[in-house]
Order: sequence, then structure tokens, then C-alpha cells
Amino acid sequence: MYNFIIFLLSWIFLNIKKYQQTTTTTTIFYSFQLMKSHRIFKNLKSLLKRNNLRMMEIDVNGLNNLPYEILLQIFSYLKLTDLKHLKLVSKRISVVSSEPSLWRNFLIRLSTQGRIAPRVCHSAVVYKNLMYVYGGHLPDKHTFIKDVKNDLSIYNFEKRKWSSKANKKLIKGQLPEKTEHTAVLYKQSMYIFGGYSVGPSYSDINVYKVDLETYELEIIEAKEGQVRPFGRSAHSAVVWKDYMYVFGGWDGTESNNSLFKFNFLTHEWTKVTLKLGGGAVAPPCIRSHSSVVHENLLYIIGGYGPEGHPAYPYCFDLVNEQWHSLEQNKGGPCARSRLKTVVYGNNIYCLGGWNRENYYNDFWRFNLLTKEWEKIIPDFELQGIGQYSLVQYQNQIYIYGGYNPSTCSPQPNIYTYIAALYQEENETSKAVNLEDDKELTDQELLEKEKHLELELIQQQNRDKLVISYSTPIVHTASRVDQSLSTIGIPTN
Amino acid sequence: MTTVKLESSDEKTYEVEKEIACMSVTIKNMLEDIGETDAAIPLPNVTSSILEKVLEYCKHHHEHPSPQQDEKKDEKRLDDIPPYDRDFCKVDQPTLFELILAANYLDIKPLLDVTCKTVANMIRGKTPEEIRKIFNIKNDFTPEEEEQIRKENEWCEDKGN
Repeated sequence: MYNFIIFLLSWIFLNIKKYQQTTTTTTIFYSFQLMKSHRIFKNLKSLLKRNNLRMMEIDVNGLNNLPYEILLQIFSYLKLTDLKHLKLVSKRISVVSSEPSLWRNFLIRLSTQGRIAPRVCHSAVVYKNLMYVYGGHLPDKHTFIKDVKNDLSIYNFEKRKWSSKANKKLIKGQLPEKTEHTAVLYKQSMYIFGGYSVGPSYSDINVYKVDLETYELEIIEAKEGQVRPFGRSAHSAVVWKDYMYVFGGWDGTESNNSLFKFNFLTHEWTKVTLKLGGGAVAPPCIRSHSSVVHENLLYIIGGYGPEGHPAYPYCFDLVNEQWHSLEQNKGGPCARSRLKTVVYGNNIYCLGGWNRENYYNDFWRFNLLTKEWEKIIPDFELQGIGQYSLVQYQNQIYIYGGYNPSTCSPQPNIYTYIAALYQEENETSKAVNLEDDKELTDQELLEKEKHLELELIQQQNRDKLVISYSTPIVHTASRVDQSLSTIGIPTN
Repeated sequence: MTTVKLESSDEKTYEVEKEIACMSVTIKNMLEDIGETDAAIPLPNVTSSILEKVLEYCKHHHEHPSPQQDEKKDEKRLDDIPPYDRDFCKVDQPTLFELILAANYLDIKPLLDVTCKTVANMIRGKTPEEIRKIFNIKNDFTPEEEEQIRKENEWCEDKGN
């Protein structure tokens, strides 16, 4: 009876564990493990004797034949280079060392084709299989802003290739120079708001909409006589339903805690009034924080203001329009600024940041269900990082650019973290769209580019006849700001 | 002092202090399941020579308990093997692998960690060819397959900045 059960179970185990060595020893091992829990191990000895299986010498032919789980543990202590080498050792070792869980110990530096001008404080949004990087600046040490950028560049996740030609595709004008601004994706367009640029300083309150299908640029002015947000940089912007929520930031003089929402459909701004009572709190006045939306909550992580760094996350209930503090959830990378966050599945991911003395190089995860912080990578290869961009594409998180304190310059690479083995189902609509829209083939891309170029020429010809769009409509710069910019505007 | 009897695969019986034997989670669970017994616990996966080594390790760590590990301690470090453990792992490869299997089967986490780290240290910084040589592994790739993997490996950079 036992005999039969054991062999049946062994057979099942051996088939499940396809990488497990199919030696009799392991058969016994698994049977034994099972029996242990069934309190029948006492019978094992007699059983073994009956089957002539005792006295088996353990069959170890070396590393290549160790069980899968053990090889995994051994490899878990190794670096990326070692894993790459192991992949070339033998077929079996290759299979084990390709296990994604091992590669999740690292922020993996991607090998990319092409480069774009290195930068910090830029924005990045993902649409289809492309990441759109816009603006940013070249830091002068970590204190001052110089060389503010206005280019829109594209990174193709599938081809791991940069293209800096997106600017030329823009129809109806060019984007302004901007840094410490925000860009969000809504439907097929990217919406840029706020930030610092040399001319208008912090006063630009236009929303720049770039349709990522047609590359048409639309400048949405906040209308006179209606609610208008005040200009700011180092704020945060997120999308919820048909709104963009803009929180906090630096207006050139001080940090704020104001929350405005922009209606994508009517192009109207609304100031969200602070509602207290019932456990609601006022968020601190901060800048250089980061924010994400998960379900109906907007989370604020990190930041800096007159009260210092917030020690815990704040969250805004988007349905009831009230702020709450997550006081119980201290720890993690909260008491820092110049960091970015991204949501994937039920986690907020977050890298590095700055505590106004040092930059960090740790990679964190905030579990939105358990509300617990977990440091998943203690030290990625740079000494520290801040002012980078962080996006998610499929099952991976991508980090681009940002300030590298050891070189006092932007780091030029893209790093990735494998957040899940497969794309999770309960993702944002963005990801769902991704699956609906089939990826463009090379041929299609080429044709699209040709088409866009043609359109661009036609548009330029039309423009010559009508009006020049060479400069975007922005508020006039004040003298004070211009004089300041020659000294150097501090970065937030 | 309570003792338990353990029987190796080659039918040698060892009488061990219960606390020492219970450093093996597998044995601990078994004892909890059956309660007090005089019968020897069969360990059909562990030979006497390996069991002796394992018991030696457990005895040492029972007598010299390691200080409470710092929570912040990075478990992935390879250079933190205590001197006793480092010397303990200075054995030939077959013995080392048998120790790993025994530690895994008996569920003795510190022993499994230290033996696995020892193997990891042998792999670290080596080329594929060197790894094959150290562990006497046959290259079972065709040149085409090898080229394919080299191509795959190109997606990430691992040298310089």
C-alpha cells in the first residue's frame, strides 16, 4: 500500500521537477519529505529494505548535477557577470543561471544603440513600445541648472535603441526648453506641465500636449478669468480618470502643498480645496518629491520643504478628496528628495534620492497591500543617484539618466529591473492598451516616419504662409529671472 | 541531557544531544511528529562520513553560538564566512557537494548557506571555460548554440560605466 503511494508520489514529483536530477536518491528524498508529514516515516526503513533501495550512495557527479534549487541558491550569491558566464558553461547550468529570480538581484545596465545628450530632471513617458524623454538639464555640480533642453527623444524598448529625431517630427512648433517639469500620458498624448526654463523662469502655466500618434503639438493656455494654477517646478503630476493632478513644487521662492487638477476633456483647471476633519491632514509644503496613483489613491513619497523631509508617505483619496498621512509607514526612502517612483502590480518602486548631503543607491519597494517597505537591492552599481526618470514597460522597470554624484554629471545609461516574471494582469489601462495595439513592424515604422516627414514639410510650407510657430507661447520673462539665470538657478 | 539516535544510510548509529540534532529542522520536525522515541531516526540520504562532518559542524555551532545577526546585514555577501566555517568547507569537491545535499535534506540553514557560498566563491570572477575546468563540466553546447547565448548576453552591459 505505502509502496504504491510512495512510487506514485515520486513519479509525480519527478515530473513536476523537470530540472531535478532523476536519481533514485532524490526519489527517496521527496518520498521521505512527504512521509514525514504523514507520520509514517517509522516505516521507511522496512520499506527501503523491501525495495532494496537502502545503502544507496548519494550520486554526486559535481556541480552540474546538483538539484535545481541548490544551484539557484549558489548562483544567488553571484554578480551579473558571473551569471552571464554561467550561461555559457553547460546546458543545465545555463537553464538555472537564466532563472529570472537571479536577475532580479540587480538593476541591469542595458546595452543600447545610440545615445542622447545626458541629462537630469527630464521627463519620461511610455507609449506603446517607446519611451519619450523630454527636456531636463545638464547639472553644474548638483546645485545649479545649466543647458536646459528642449528635445524630445525616443527610446525603443524592443530594439534597445535611442532616436533623437522626434523633435523634427513635431507638427506645429517646437517644445520649449524645460527642466524639473512633469510629463504624463493620457490616451495617446503626452501632457507637459510646469518646470523651469531660462526665459519664463517658473511662470509658464501652459500645458503642452504632444499627440504621440501624429506628433501634433498643441499648447493649451490656462484661460483668463478661470482657475489657473501658479507656475512651478519640481512638482509632481499623475493621471487619474480624465484628470491630471499636480501637487506641490517650487514657485521660484518657496515650496507649496497646493493640489490642482486639469481636466483633459475640457482643458479646465480646478484647485482642490483642502478638507480637514475625519482623520484628514494637510500635506506638507514640498518639492522634488514623487507621486503615483494606485487604485483611487494618490501617493506622495519623499520631498523637501520648510519642515524638512516628510518621514512617511502621504496619500490623497481621489474619491473623497482628502489627504491622509501614512504615519505608520515610516522607514524606506521617505526622508529624501530628488527621487522618482513607479507603480507596478501592488508595489511602488523607488530608487536612490538625496537627503541634502548624500545620494543613495538603494532600490526599494512599498507593498501597497501590506503597507510595508522592503529594500530589494541594497546597492546598485552607482554610488548614488537622483533626478532620474523611472518608468514601467511590460514586466520591467526602467531608469534613465539622473545625477551621478561620483562624476558630478548625469549618468547616461538605462537600467532595468525585472519586476515580475510575466506581465501582471491587473495593470493600468496603459498596459492593456499595449496588448491591444499590435507592435509596429520595422516596415510600418519606416512608412510612418516617411509619412510624418512629408506631413512636416507640408505643415512647414503652410506655416510660412500663415504664421510662424517657431517660438511657443509663454509668459514674458521678468528681468529679475534673467539676471538670476546668468548667476545660475539652483536645482531643487 | 536528552539524546536522540540517528542512523546513517550505511546503518551506523550515532547518539547525539537532542539540541544539537534539532539544529536540523528536518529532524526537529520528525521528533515533534513522533514524540519521545528510543528508535534510531533513519537518514537514508546521509552516509556516515558526511553525517559525522555535519554533526561536528552542529556541535561546534551549538557550543559557539554566533552572535545575533544584524538585521541590516546583507545576506548576499560572500566575504563574511566565519573562520571555523571557512576551514570546515576546505574539503574536496565530492565531500562539499555531499555536505550541501545533506544540509539541504536535513534543513540546516547555516550549513547550507556556508557550503553554497563556498561554491559561489569558486565560481566568482571565472570565465565559462575556467568554471568548466574547476568543476569538470563537459561543454555540451554546439558552437551555434554558444554563439546564440553570447548574442543573448549582449542585452546587458556588465563592464565599466
